[in-house]
Amino acid sequence: MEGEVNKLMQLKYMGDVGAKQAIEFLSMMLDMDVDMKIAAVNMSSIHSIPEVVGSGEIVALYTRFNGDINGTMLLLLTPDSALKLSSALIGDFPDEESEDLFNDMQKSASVEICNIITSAFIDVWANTFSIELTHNPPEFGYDYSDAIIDKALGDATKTGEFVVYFNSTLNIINMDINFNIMLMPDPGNLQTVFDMFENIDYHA
Amino acid sequence: MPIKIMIVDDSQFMRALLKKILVAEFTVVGEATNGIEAVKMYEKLNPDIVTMDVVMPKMDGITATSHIVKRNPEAKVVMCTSVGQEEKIKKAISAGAKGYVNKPFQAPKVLQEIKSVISA
Repeated sequence: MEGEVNKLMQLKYMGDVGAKQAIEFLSMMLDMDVDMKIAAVNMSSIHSIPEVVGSGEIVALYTRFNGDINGTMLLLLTPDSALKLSSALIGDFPDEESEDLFNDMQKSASVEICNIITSAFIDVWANTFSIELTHNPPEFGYDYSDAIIDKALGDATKTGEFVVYFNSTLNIINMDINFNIMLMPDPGNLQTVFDMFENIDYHA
Repeated sequence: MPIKIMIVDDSQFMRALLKKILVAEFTVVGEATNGIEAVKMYEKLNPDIVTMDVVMPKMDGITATSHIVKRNPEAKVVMCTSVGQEEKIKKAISAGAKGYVNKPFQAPKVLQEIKSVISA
């Protein structure tokens, strides 16, 4: 039990530092006041994702990261939250009509947010552990949660490995937008992460 | 004579963001969404300077830069790279890029780097 608590503390630390970095990147790019907080961190089986996010329609922004640790990072949020977030970013940019819920500019803005948050998290992990990590451009998905999880995680959903949830809130233009960041290292890679924690002082 | 600038980025949002920064001081003559489009558009529009994203579909920004510079050794290309992509910056400079800015970028830094490359 104590071991599990320590692991969650370690992951929470990484989440907090990642959020701090993301705030810096987002404020810089948008020239707006941005805040981001990690309210809680949990770790559970990948099969529990639909229980956490519900079975309804959801927006997923996902990307693969590769290097000394490999895996998938997903940002999951409700369609309403995704619309609020993209509208806040688009501001006075020229926008277009669309028959779909999300037009191309809204998708592009959402992907860029994911890109920045992923970059922030990846940078923190790479710097903390002195490892090499890169990530692919994120993809945008809008579908029922089980379909989107299958698409985003592919074969990984069949392996039953663990997923780390960071329950997060982004505050932008005085709007609170709740979302989940899910970090799913490939099989065996989560243990590599915990082994790396043994060699750093994450309280410093 | 207004300075003609071309924006190359696969992200519609990033293109809009860059355009918003650049239009105050330059004339944005074209926007390309991948390296292949960028090379064709460069030949057609002959801009004074290009902002070039690195990671793009079909043809990446480094390959596109090398094609552009092969056709015009005096071409001025400023790479827009994500932080932590130092290796890619080195490759881009080898391919002929004259400068770079890190994404996420701040407007004053983008303008400063572009002006510095133009006046070099």
